[in-house]
Amino acid sequence: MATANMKDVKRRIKSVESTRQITKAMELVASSKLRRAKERALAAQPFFAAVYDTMADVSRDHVFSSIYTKKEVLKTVLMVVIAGDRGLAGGFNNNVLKLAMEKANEHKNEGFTVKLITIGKKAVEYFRKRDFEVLDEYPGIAESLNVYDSLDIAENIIARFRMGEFDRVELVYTTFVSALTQEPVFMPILPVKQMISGSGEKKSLMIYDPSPEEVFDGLIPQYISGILYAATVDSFASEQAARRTAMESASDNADEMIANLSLMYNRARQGQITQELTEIASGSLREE
Amino acid sequence: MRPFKLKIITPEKTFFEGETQQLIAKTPAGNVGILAGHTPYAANLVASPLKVMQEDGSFRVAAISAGMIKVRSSECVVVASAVEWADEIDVERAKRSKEDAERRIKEQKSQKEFERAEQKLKRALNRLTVSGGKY
Repeated sequence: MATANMKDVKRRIKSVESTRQITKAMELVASSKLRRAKERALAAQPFFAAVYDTMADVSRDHVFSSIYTKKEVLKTVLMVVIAGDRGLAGGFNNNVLKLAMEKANEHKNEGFTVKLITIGKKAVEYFRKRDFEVLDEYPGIAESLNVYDSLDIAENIIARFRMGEFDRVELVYTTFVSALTQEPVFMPILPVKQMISGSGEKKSLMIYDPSPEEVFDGLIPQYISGILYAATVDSFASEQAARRTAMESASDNADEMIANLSLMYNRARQGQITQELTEIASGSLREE
Repeated sequence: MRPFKLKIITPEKTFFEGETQQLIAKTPAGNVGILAGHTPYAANLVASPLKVMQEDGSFRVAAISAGMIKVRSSECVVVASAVEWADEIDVERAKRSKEDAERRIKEQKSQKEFERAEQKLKRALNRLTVSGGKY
């Protein structure tokens, strides 16, 4: 009996060890990807700040009307949902998709039509199974996202917005707070609301060529693609951080299991040796 | 000529940060030249060659995609989705994306597709002209 039990325990230790190897490897991969993603997210900041500041300056300097700032008569909402491409990242995908679903249902209850653009395989799969009109799907672009991808998506959104396919655009994604916390957030993008100026100057003598409106409208693609780029990179960093944490605790749990199992194994081994000794001793006693 | 500060920013990185004496960029209305002491100015830029004067007076040229230029007190900022120096352009990639864009234009799926392909073609052609030194 003892031998059979020992074999079982040994087998379980082996299997837990190999699982631990995988979780440990995933943890390491996630942390190196996280580092790169954080760098990318940081590098995108100045670009976005420059675009945002200029737009804020225009909107403060001049009284003007743009199709992008109009007060909407709300009928249709476009939601851009960014989630991960893979699972095994703790609650990462679940949290952001839950928030998206909540907001979408809210809109529905208020009587608006909800259309979607999904970024990331998990978001794509999730909303395919649900009762929403999905305009576009972009699975698997987050890791190697380049500017043209985000510009493409932005131009797509802008063209449809101008044609009146929807009159509000909102974004749901996960923001990276720290290596341990990632938060799903909700953010309206279009129409552009009152902007808070970065430069702080009162009326400037800026000359806008050819006109403030055109500079403002011309910046919209950069603005939207900047937001999308930043959000996608941010979400990717969050995904890696979430996966790292999840895999770290999985590895820790595996370590604990291995320790317990080793204890069990050693006990069984000792038990067996003791038993064998007793058998030998009692055998020799009988012979005397 | 007096030098002034120039910054070229893309979403991926700060592409260039330094001083120059003259900058030539293309707005939808045509080329503008920026010298030190220019009045505060903002304009959109189209996909075009961007010329940055170097210390020896020659121009270093970069291909930029759509963006904007902003000049304020002795500092000039160029913001674009993508910028590449002429000698760093991947010609093969530019050719490929040109062919891809031409193919999509021929297919003529929809007005929207057509416009996107047209933009792509413009960017690819711009990269090719800049890398070929014909501007």
